[in-house]
Amino acid sequence: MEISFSFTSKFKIPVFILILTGMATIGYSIFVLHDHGERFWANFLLNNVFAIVISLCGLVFIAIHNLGNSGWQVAIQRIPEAVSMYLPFGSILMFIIVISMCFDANHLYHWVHPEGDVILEMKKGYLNVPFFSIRTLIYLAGWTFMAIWLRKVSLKNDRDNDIKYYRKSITISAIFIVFFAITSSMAAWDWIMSLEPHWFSTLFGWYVFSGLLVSGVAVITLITVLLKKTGYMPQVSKEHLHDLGKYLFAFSILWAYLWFSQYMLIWYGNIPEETVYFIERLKGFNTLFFINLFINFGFPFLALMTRNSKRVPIILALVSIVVLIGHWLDFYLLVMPGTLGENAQIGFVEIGMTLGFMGFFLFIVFTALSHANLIPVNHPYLKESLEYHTQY
Amino acid sequence: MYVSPVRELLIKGDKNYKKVTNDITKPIVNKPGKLWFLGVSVTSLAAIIGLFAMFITVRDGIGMWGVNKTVGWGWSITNLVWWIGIGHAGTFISAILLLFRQKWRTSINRSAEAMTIFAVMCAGIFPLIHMGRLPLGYFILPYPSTRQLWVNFNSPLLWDVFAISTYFLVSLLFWYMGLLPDIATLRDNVKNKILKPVYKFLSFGWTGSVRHWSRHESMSLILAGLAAPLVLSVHSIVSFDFATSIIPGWHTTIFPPYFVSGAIFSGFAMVLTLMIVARKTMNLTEYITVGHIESMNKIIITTGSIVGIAYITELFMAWYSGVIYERFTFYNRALGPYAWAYWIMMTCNVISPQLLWIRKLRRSILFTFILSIFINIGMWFERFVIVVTSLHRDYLPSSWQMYKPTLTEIAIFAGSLGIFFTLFLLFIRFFPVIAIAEVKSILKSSGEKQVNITQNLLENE
Amino acid sequence: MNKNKYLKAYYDDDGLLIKGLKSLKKEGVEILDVLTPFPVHDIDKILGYRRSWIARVGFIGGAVGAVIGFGFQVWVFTVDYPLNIGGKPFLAVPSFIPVTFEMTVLCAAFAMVFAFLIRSKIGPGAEPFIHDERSTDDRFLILVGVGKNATEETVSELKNKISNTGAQGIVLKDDVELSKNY
Repeated sequence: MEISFSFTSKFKIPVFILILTGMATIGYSIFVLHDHGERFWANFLLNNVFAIVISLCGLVFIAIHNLGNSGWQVAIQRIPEAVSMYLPFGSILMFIIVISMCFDANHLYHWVHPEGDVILEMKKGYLNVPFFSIRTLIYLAGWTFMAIWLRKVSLKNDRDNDIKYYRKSITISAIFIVFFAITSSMAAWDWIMSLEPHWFSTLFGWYVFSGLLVSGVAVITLITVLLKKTGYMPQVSKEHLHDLGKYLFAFSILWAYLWFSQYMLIWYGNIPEETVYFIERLKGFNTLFFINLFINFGFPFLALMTRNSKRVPIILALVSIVVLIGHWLDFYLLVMPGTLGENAQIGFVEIGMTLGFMGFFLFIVFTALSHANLIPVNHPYLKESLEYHTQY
Repeated sequence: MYVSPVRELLIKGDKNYKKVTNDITKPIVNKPGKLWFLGVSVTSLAAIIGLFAMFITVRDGIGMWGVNKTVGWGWSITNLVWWIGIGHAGTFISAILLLFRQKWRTSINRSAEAMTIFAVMCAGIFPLIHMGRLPLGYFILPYPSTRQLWVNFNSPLLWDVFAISTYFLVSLLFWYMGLLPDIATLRDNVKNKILKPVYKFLSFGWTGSVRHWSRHESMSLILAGLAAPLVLSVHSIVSFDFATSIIPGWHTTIFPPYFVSGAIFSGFAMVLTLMIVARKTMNLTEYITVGHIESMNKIIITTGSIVGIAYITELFMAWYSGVIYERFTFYNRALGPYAWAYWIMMTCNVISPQLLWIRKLRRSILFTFILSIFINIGMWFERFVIVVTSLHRDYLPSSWQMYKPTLTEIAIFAGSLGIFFTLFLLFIRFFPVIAIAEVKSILKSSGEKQVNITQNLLENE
Repeated sequence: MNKNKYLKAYYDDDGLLIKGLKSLKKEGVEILDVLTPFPVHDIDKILGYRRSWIARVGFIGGAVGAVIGFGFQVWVFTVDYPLNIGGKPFLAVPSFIPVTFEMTVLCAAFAMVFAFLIRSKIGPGAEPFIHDERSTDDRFLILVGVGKNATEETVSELKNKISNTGAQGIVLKDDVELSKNY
C-alpha cells in the first residue's frame, strides 16, 4: 500500500507561475507605488496570517481527530499533515513583519507610537514592540515545533509498526490543543485586533478560530479532490468527502453563529467604543460586508444542504473554492479598514500577492506531500478508514 | 463495519439480544425496591415544600424574596440559567454525538435526554413566578389581544420564551421518537395488566417494520441536525438576556459560546452524578462502563477548560478595554464583597476539572462522582457571580446594595431539585434508562463476547 | 386457495437475516415485510426501498417556519404597531433573527415527526397486529408473500427455500392480519 506523490512538472509549472506573479506584484508594490510600502505591508500581513491560519488548521484537524479517537480520517491524514508544514515558513515571513516593526519600517500598528493617545497609553503594558515580538515568537515557535514533532512521529510509524507512536501522537495532540486554545485567541488579538487598538471584543479570538476551521477544511478538501482526480488517492471514497463536506457545512454555520453573536451584541448595546468597528466597515466597505455574509454563510448553507452535493467531488471542490475566497474577503475586512482605511481596494496588488502566497503555500505543501507515503500504513485505525462507510 | 481492536469495548460481559432486553427492562418488570420508595418520598417531600414556597411567593408577592431595586435578579434567574444549563447535556449527547458517530452515547443518551426535559421544566418555573402574577403568564405569548399591542420582539427575554419552549418541544419529540421502539419492547415484555395497555397506547403501534426503521433513521438524523444548532441557540439566547444590556460584566461578546460551553459542562456533571448512582443501583455496570465515564470526563475537561479560558479572556479584556467600569467590575468580582462566590466558582470550574488530565482519576468512579458534584456547585456559583456581582455595584454608588436570599427563595430552589429528582425517579421506574434498540445495534461491533465471534466470521468469509 | 396468504418465519441473528434476505431476494421470493428489534443496516437496500423523502418535508417545514417567523415580526413592527424600543429601527433585523431561527427549527421538527407518523400509519391509538412478541426483543421476523394462485406444493417449496436460509418457525397465515398494519 505504498503510494507516493511525485511533484512533477504538471504541478510544478502552475505553482511557479503563481510564485512569479506574486514576486512581480511585490516588486511593483514596493518600487512603483509611492505609498511608503503601506499597501505592500497590509497585503503581506493579510496573506501571511491567512496562510498561517490555514496551515494551523491542518494541525488542529489532526490533533482533534487524534484526541477524539477518530478513525475515518486516516486515509487522508497525510494531507492536513502536509498543510501544517507551511508553519515554519509562515513564521519566518511573519518575522519579517516583526523585525521591520522593530525598525519602524512599517506603519501597520498604531500602538507602536502611543504618545498622546490616552487609551493607548493605558494599554502600553501589553501593546508594545518587545512584548509583541516575544509573544509572536512564542506562538510561532510553539506551533512549528509541535507540527514538526507530530509529523515526525507519524512518519516514524510508517517504518516501524508500533502502537506507541499512536499513543505518543495523542499526547502531543493534547499538549498542542491546550497551547493552541490559549495562543490562538491571543494571536488573533495581537496580529489582527490590535490593528484597531482602541476597539475590543472578547469573542474576537474565537471568531477568527471559526474562520480558521472553515478555510482550513476547504483547503484540505480541495487538495483531497485534486489528488483523487489525479489518481494519487484511490483509497479516498465518497464517504471521506462526505465527511469533509459535513465539516465545511457545519463550520460555516458555526462561523455565521459567531459572526452574528458579535455583531448583534455590539449593535444592540450601541456603545460608541464598540460600534465604531462596524460603522467603519458599513460605511467604507458596505458591499463587501454583505457579500461576506452571503458567500460565507448563505452560499455554503444552501449549496451543501443536500446529501448529494457533499458526495460529488466537483461540487464540493467548487463550494470549497468559493468559501475560501469568502474567507479571504473576511480577512480583508478584518485587516484593511484598520490599515489602509479609505485607500483599501481589491486591485492588481491584492490579487497578485494573494496568488503569489498561494503558489508559495502550494509549493511547500506539495513538497511535503511528495516526501512521504500518502497512506499512513501502520496507523491502528487505517483499516477502519479504508473500509469506512456510513449510513449517514 | 470493521472496528479496530485498539478501541475499548463498550458493553462488558457475555451478552446477547435477549439478555440486553432483560437487563434493561428488569427494573420495570420487577417490583421496585425499598431504596426507590425511600428516594421518591424524600424528593417529593422537597417538591412539596418548594411548591408551598412558590404558593407563598405568588400570594404575597416578590417581596418574599431578597431581591431589591439594585439586585433585581437573584437566585431565581441564577436557578433558571443553572437548570437550563443542565438541560443541555441530553440533547448534546443524543444529537451532536450522534452526528459525530460516538457509539458510547447509546448507553447514556436516553436518560440524559430525560434529564434535559425535566431540567427545562424546572427552569421554566423560575421566570414564570418571577413575573409575579402567575395567572397572567400568558402575556408573554404573541396573541391578538384587546390591548392591540404585540409582545416586544426586540427583547431577549421574549427570545427566551421562544427558545426555551422550542427547545423543550423539540427535545420532547426527539426523546419520544427514540423511545418508541423501546416502549414497544416493554409492551411485549411487561405482564402487568394495568401497564401493558398503557405501553400499548404509548408505543403508537410500533412493530419494528423495516420500512418504519428506515424512515425513523432518516428522521432521527435530521432531527439531530436540527437539534444540534438548537442546543447552541438556547443557551446563547439565555446569554443574550445579559449580554445585550450595557451592564459591565454582562455586556461582552464572548457570552454566547461561553454559556453554551458552560451549559454542556454542567449538564455532563449532572448526568455523571445521576448515572454513577443509577448504574450501581440498577445493575447496569456492564452497559455504563468505566470507558463511558472516561469519555464523559473528556467532554467535561474540554468544556471546563473552554469555560476557564473564557473567564480569563473576560478578565483580560476588562483590563485591555481601558473602560473603568469594566475594570472595576472584574476587580470587584475577585476582591469585593462577593469574592467568596467568585473563588468557589474558580476552584470548582477551572481548577478541579484539570485533575482529569490524569488518566487514573479520569477512570476513577469515586473521584468522578465527587468532582461532578463540585462542578454542579461551581456552575451554580458561576451564574450567581454573573447575576449578583454585576448588579450589586451600580453605576451610582448611592444605589449600591447587597443581596441575600430569603428562606422562601431557598425553599423554591430545593423544591425544583425535588421536582427534578422525583421526575427522574419516576422515569427510571417506568421507562428504560438505556436505549435498548440502540445498544443492541452496537452489540456486535462493541460487545465484549460478540466481537470475537464477529471477527471470526469475517475472517472465515 | 383464493385468499392472499403469507408465510411467517424468523431468524435469531441479524447476520443470518441479511444473508437469508439476500438469497431469498435472488430467488425472486416476494418479501412483504421484515420486523427487527433494532435498525439493521442495509436491509432497505437489499429490499430495494428508496431513500426516505422525509428530509424534504423537514426542509419545507423549516422554510415555512422561517418565513412565518420573520414575516410576522416584520409585520408587527413595521405595519401593525410600530414601537420605538430603545431607539432601534422599526425593522430591526438582528433582533428578529433568534425568533426566526427558533420558528424554523420548531416547524421543521414538527413537520417531520408528523410526516413520519402519518406515512408510517402509527400514532396514538394505533392498533398494530403483533406477529410475534419477540420481534421487539431478539427475533428477526420475515413475512413472505405466497401469491394468489399458490398450491400446496408451491407453498411447501417456498417453505423449504426459507428454511434453507436458516429461518425457524415457518407458519402459513391469512392476509387479514397483515393488512391491518398497512
